[in-house]
Amino acid sequence: MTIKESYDRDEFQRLTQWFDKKGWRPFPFQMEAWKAQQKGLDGFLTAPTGSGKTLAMLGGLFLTQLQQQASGHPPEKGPLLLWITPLRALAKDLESAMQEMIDELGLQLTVGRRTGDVSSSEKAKQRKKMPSILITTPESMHILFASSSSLGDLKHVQRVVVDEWHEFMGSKRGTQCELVLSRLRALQPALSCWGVSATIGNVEEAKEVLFGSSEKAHKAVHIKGDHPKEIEMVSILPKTMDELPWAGHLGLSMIDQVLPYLEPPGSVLLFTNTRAQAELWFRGLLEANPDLAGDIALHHGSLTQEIRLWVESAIKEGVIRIVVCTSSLDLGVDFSPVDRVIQVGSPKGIARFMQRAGRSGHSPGQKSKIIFVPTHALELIEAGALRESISNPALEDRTPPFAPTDVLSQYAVTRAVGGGFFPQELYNEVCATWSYQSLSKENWEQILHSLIHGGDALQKYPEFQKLVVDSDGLVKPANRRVSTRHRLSIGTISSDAMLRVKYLTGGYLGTVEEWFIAKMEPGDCFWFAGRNLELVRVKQMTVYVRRAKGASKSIPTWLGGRMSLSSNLSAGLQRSLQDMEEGSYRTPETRAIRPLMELQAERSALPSHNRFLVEVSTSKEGTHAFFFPFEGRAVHEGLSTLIATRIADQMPITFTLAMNDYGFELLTDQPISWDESWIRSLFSPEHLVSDLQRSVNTSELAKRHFRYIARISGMIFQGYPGKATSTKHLQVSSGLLYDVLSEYEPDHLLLQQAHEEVLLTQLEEHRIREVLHRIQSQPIKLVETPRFSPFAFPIFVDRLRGKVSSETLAQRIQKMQDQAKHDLQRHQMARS
Amino acid sequence: MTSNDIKWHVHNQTFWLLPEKAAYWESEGVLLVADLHFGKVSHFQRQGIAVPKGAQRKTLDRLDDVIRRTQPKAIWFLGDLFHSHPNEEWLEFQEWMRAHESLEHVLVQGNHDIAKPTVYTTLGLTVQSSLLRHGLCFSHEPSDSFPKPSNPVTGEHPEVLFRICGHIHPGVKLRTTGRQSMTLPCFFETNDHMVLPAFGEFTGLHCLPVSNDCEAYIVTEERLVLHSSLPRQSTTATR
Repeated sequence: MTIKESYDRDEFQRLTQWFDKKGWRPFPFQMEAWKAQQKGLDGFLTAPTGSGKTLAMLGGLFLTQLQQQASGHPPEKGPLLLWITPLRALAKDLESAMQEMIDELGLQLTVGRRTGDVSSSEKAKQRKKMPSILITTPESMHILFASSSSLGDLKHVQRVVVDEWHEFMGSKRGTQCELVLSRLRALQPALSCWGVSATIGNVEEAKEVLFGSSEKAHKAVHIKGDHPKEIEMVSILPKTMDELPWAGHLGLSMIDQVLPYLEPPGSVLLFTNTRAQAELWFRGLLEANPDLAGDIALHHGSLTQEIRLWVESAIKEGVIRIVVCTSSLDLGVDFSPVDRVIQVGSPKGIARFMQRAGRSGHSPGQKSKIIFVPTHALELIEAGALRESISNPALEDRTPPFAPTDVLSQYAVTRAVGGGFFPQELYNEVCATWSYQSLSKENWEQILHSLIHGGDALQKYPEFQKLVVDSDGLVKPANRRVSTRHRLSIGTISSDAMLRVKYLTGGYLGTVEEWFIAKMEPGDCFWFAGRNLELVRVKQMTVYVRRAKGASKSIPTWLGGRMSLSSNLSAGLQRSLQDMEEGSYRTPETRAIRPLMELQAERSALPSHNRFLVEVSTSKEGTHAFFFPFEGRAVHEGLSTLIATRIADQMPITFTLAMNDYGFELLTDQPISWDESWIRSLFSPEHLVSDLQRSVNTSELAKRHFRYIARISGMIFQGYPGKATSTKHLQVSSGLLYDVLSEYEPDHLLLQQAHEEVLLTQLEEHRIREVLHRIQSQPIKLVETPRFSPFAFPIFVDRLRGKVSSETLAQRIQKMQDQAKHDLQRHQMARS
Repeated sequence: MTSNDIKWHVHNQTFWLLPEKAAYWESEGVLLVADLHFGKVSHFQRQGIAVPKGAQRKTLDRLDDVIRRTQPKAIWFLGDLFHSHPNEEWLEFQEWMRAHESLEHVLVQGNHDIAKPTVYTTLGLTVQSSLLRHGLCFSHEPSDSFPKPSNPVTGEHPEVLFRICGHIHPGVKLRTTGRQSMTLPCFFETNDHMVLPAFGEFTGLHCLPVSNDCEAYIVTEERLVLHSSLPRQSTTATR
C-alpha cells in the first residue's frame, strides 16, 4: 500500500483540502511522517527551519482527531502532545501558528504554552485543565516534575516532539531533555517520541542520544525533509587593505560600505556575533544614516520578550525592514524569509553560516543571499574558506555531554521535591537514558549520599539538611525551604547574576549582567536596547534608568559571546593557507588579502601545513613567543597552558597567555632562549593527559568552570529577583567554594566533574593530541621578528588572558619590588 | 615581633600588623582580629549546601598560633565573630574559649552577630557596640557616624581621632609585568580609619582601589608588603 492509498480517507481529504485552500501541497516527507505517527512509531526528522516541519509533526495528531470527531468521540484529556523547544521566544510564535491550523481545520483541540514567560495564573489554569498540545522547554518540564500535582496529567501524553534537537544535544540542556523523556516513558510506556534536527555530522549519534539506545534509534523512522539550497555569497572587500584593521572584532569601520545593502526595496537581517556588537552596529548604522530610523530595529536575547516579539512581527508585516540581531534569530519557526542576510564578522562555523544564509529566499528553488562583512583583515581568509565550504559542506558534529553529575544531582532533588522517589526505581529510569547508560551503582549511591548526608562517601555532616529517607525508603526533601529554593533555581543555562533594567517611570527593557552595572555609578550613561540610558540607582536586582541626554561610551557586554572556530572551518582555513603558500589565490577574499600575506612572508613566514611557525619578539612588556596551530581559541587555550606548564617544570617562571582562533602567545618578563629542538620537545604528545591535568590544577580554568557546576548542582543559590535580601547569609562565591572543597574534600564528585569537563569540552583533549602529533611531523620554523607580524598582532591585543606560574608568591612580590626600585633609580638618574 | 611584622603608629599609639591577618597593640596587650565568621560552614550545611568542614578548625589553629606568638592579655573581636544563628560549630568555639579562659574576650558586635547578647555573654564574651581608647574607636563597620556619648550622665562626647574596624574583608588586585594579576587580602588604611583583613578561612575578599592618600599592607604568605613599595599600579590596560 502506498502512502497515497493509505490516506484515501475522509480525514486525509479534509487535511489536503485545507492545503489546497492555502495553495500548498503536502510534501512527501510530511506524508511519510504522518503515516509513521499514526502507527505510533518513534521518528527523527532532519529538516531546515521553515520547511513545514511543524505541520509534519502535528499531522498525525490532527488526522487522529479528525477521525475521532467524525465518529463523534468527545475530545480526549490533555496533554496529548508535548512540544519541547529550546527557546522561550519561539514558543509564542509556535502557539499562534498551531492555533491557526487548529481553527482553520475546525479541530476540537487546544494549544497552550508553559515556559518561564507564562504567568502563574495561566499555569494555574493549566493545572486544572491541560491543553491538548503543550509547548514547553526542558527547564519548565523539570519545574513541572518538581510539583507533585501535575504528574497525573502527564500520563495522557501520547507523543513528544523535541524541536531543534541539534541545538539541545551539545549541551546539558540536552541531558535535561533525556531525563524528561525517561520520566515520560516511565509514566507512559507506549509514548511515541519524535526529534526534529538540522542535518549535523553525527546524525546517528544524535538519534541514539534522543531515543536512549542504539536499538531504539535503529527502530525509529528517519525522515529526510531537506533539499539542498543554493547559496550566493558576496564579501564586502575593503578598497585598500589599510581600511581594515589587523585586529578587532567589531567591524564598525565597514559601516559605510554596508549602507548600500540596506537600501530599499527588500528586507534585511544583519547578524552579529555578540549582543554588545549588535548594540554598537545598531547605533553606528543610525549615526551613519539617520534616515534609517523607523526602518531598523534591534533583536537580541537580553531584550524583553515583548520587544523581541514586536520586532519579529514588525518585520513580518513590513513595518520595519532591517533587523540587527544575534544568534537570537538563528532559530525561529515561521520567521518569514527576508531578501538579504548580512553577516558581520566570522560566523566561526560553516553550519551556522549556512543556517543564517538560509534565512533569506525561503521559497523552493530560490537562492539564498548572504553578504559577508569582515571585521579584521585576517577574517578574509576565513571568508575564503567559507566560500569554498558552502559548495561542498562538511557537516559539523555536536558532542553530547556524558553523565554530568551536576545535572543528575539537580534532577534527583527535583524528583524528591516532586513527590519523592525510591532510589532503585529512579536509578533504573535514569540508566535508560543515553547519558547515564553506564552510571555505576556506586556513583549513584555517592550522589545520593552527598544529597542526604552532605559529605563524600566517608563523611556525614550531622547538621546537613537537604534530602531525607522516610521509613518506607522514599527520598524526600528535609523541609519546605529545600523545596522552595530548589524550584527557584532549576535550570542548566547559567550565566552571571542578571539584573533587570527598568525605567523609573515603569517599563521593563531587558536584563544585563551584574558585573557590568557593578563598575558604574549613578549618573553614568550606557547604551542598551538601542537607547541611551542614564543609571539612576540599583535596588535589589533591578537597575532603574531614565533616558539620557549626554553622550555615552559604554555598551553592555555579555559573557558567552565569543565562539571558537569549529574544527571543520579550521580545516578549511588551513587549506586556504596552504593554497596561498603555493601562490594560488582562488577566491576574491584571498586575492584581497594578498598584500597582507606578502607582508607576513616578508616579516616572518606564512604559517601553513609545510611548517609550524613560531615567532619571537621583545617589547618593554617582556619576551613574546607566538605559536600558530590554527585550531581555534578553545584548543589554543588548553595547548598554551600545557606548553607553559611544561616550561615552568624546567625553571621558575611566570607566563601570561593570550590566544585567538589562529594561534597563542606566551609572554614572560624573564629572558628565555627558544630553539627549534626544545620547541619540538615541548610539543610532545607524551604524558599529555597527566600534564594537562596538572596544568588545569595550577590554572584558573577549573575554578572558573566550577561556577556553572556549582549553580546547576544547587551549591550556589542565586536568590530571586526582588527577594535577594532574605538569603544574605547564604551568599558565597563559587571561587571560595572551589577553594574550600579542594582543600578539605579533594575527591568531591563535582570537583572531579569540573576537571573532566574542562579537559573534554573546554580543552578538547583529543584535538590537542591531534595537533601535537601533527606538529611532530612538521618542520619547525623559528623567526625573530623585530615588529609583530600581521598574524601575531591580533593575539597581542587580545584581552582574554590566563597565567601559569611556577614561582612562589613571595618570589613574584619580590620581583615587583625590585622592579619598583629599578624604576625609581632610573627616574632619579633621568633627573640628575 | 619579627621582621615580617610591620610597626604601625597612629596618634601616639603603636600597633604591630601581623601577616596572620591580626593586629597587636603592644602597650595595652590587646590582640585585634575581625570577621572570623564562625559557624558559617554549618549554616550552609543546614540550608542544604554541602560545604566541607575544616575551615573553622584552621581559623582557630591560626588564632592559637598568633596568641602563642604575641601573648596578649585581651583579645578583641571586631565584629562578625559568628556568621549567623548558633549551630554545632559554636561548640568547637566554646571549647576554644574554655581553653583560653585567662584572656579577656571582647566582642564588638558586627552585622552578622545577630543572636541575643546573652548568648555571647554565656560563652564568656563581653559585648560592646564599640570601644574608645586614647581617642581611637574600635568598631565593626567603618561607618561615618561616630558613636553616641559613652558617658550618658555627663553627656561627654569624647573626640574620636581614628577608627579601627573590620567588615569590608579588604583585598587588593595587583598587576605585575606581563599583564598578570593576583588578588590578596590586606590591611587597608585611609586618613581616618584602618580596616583589618578578614581573619576567618571561609570568607571572601572585597577588592578596593588604592588611591594616593591610602595605604594597603598586603598579606603575602609569611610577610606583609606595603602597597607603596610596589611599582605604580595602572588600573587601565596599556597597549
